[in-house]
Amino acid sequence: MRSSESYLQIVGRRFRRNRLAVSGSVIILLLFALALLAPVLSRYDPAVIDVNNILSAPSWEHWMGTDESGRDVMSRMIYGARISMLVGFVAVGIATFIGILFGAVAGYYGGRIDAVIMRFVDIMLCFPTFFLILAVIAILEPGLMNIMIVIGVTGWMGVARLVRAEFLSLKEQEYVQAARAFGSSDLRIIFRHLLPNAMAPVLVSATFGIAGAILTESALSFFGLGVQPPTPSWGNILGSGYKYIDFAHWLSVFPGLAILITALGYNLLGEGLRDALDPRLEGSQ
Amino acid sequence: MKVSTILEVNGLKKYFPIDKGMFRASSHVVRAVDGVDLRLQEGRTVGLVGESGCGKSTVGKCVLRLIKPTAGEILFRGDNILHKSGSEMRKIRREMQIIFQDPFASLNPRMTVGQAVEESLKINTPMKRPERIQRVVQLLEDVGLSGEDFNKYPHEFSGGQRQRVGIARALAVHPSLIIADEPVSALDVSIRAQVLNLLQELKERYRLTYLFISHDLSVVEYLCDRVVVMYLGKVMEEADRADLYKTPLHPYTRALLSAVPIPDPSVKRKRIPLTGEIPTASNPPPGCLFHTRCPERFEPCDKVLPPLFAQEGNRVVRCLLYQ
Repeated sequence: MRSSESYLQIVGRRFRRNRLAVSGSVIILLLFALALLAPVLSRYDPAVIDVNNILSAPSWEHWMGTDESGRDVMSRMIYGARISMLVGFVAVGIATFIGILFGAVAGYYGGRIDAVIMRFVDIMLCFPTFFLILAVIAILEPGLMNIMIVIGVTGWMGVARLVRAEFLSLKEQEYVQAARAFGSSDLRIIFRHLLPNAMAPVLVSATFGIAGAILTESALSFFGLGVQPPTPSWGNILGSGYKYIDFAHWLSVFPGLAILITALGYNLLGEGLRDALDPRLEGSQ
Repeated sequence: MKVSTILEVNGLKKYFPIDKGMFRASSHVVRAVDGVDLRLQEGRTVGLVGESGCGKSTVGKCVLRLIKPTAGEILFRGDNILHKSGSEMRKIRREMQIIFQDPFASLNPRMTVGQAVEESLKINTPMKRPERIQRVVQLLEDVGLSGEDFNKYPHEFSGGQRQRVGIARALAVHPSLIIADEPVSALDVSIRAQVLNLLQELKERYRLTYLFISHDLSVVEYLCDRVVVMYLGKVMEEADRADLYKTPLHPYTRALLSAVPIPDPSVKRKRIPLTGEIPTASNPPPGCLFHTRCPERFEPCDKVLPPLFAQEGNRVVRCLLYQ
């Protein structure tokens, strides 16, 4: 028995041995740095129009070229990373919060409450999510805040199911009965004893969820229903640039690549976490 | 010395419904506990024994209201606790604690053992943090661990050490009654004696009363003053320890005792082999519950369920032989 090693250290060691997972986290860390340091890293103001430099190809002055208004694409891409990171985290944060809430209540209390909540989950899952989002955005104003909320509110069902399933098995554990025996309240049992032991699969699904949310945001912005210009987002750079793909491919290629790499990074990270957190692999080399 | 009754269980029943799918009402029940009476005197240890599945753990969990009983009364110091509200029950639970069988499942893997023991102090006492830590260290030392173990996680301990943590956690609130649900069954034989001695020592130091649930008759003989034998949810025999082990009356008790190994190869003993499987509690046999396996059954055994017959020396037995 490796006695002095904590659970997190074991997980950390297993994660570091997974090369794909490590490259995923490197990608994400770089994107974070990009988003945080955007004002330092971008050489031009992303909003400044330069009519003398419309649709110029990548060059030393403009590494990723300029767009139809002569704005520097690279600076816009760097600021776009902020939007993607923000949307990913906030939307998934909302979804995870709602999912944990419903899943915990359903799994802990069981019975009729569980049946009602899980049928509601089934109903929510029947809607084709993307079209639901399109419909809601069409009613509300398109904009950063609204799409984060809408993506979050339509994406919590998987988390709810995961948390419920974990709670159903965890609440029969003897340490939960012991906590009940010395008078712990329901809230205390849920937050101190059940939730910390149920977080591993939630964390994994949240990581995959971020990739999904970023893709959804890009798609919405591409259609003009997401982040509104002049605020740059990878989706709306692509959306306004694809018209010029015949002679200004850089307007489509760079945002496309950025979206691809980001989604890939989160998926690699998610898979690495899933493998590292899997208790069935305990002790395996 | 006058002894008072700390716990009295009257006609306790727990039926579990067998679900037959979503749309059918469950028509069938498992009678896990079917009319059990118990009386625990302050400062004594009562052993509850029986094969697995006889309902002995269910009795223990009903007493703590971890499971809601179907019927019956549970009187703690003369007060029926079955209809207490949540906050009243919380006060009573300070007086009753439980030690679990599986030391690997009974500690939260994400909490240090110090936190685990401290938690119940946090809930049940007005102590401040430094005071609580002092008390936890004291408790850990009382159960044979060291105060330095406070910040270790359960996976850093062996089964026996974890069981000691479980005991410290149960003792934290100064209970007077402890329900020990197979506390040594999951431990190595070499560790068992140590933990049993610890339980015995703590009982004297803190004037505890134990309801000791076990399938191991030699452990029960070591620790208990009075023994209750259960079979399929019913009490088969109840007697003082010395009487039960010297002259078991019920054929089931006799069979159980004959199966206990004696650590002396020169002692010859006749074993009473039980044939057949233990019937399921969802479909108990008619008549005496034990008649399907009883070596001494006679004519009406398969038709009449015997009541508990009082016998000389403050003991009862559920068998027609003692009518």
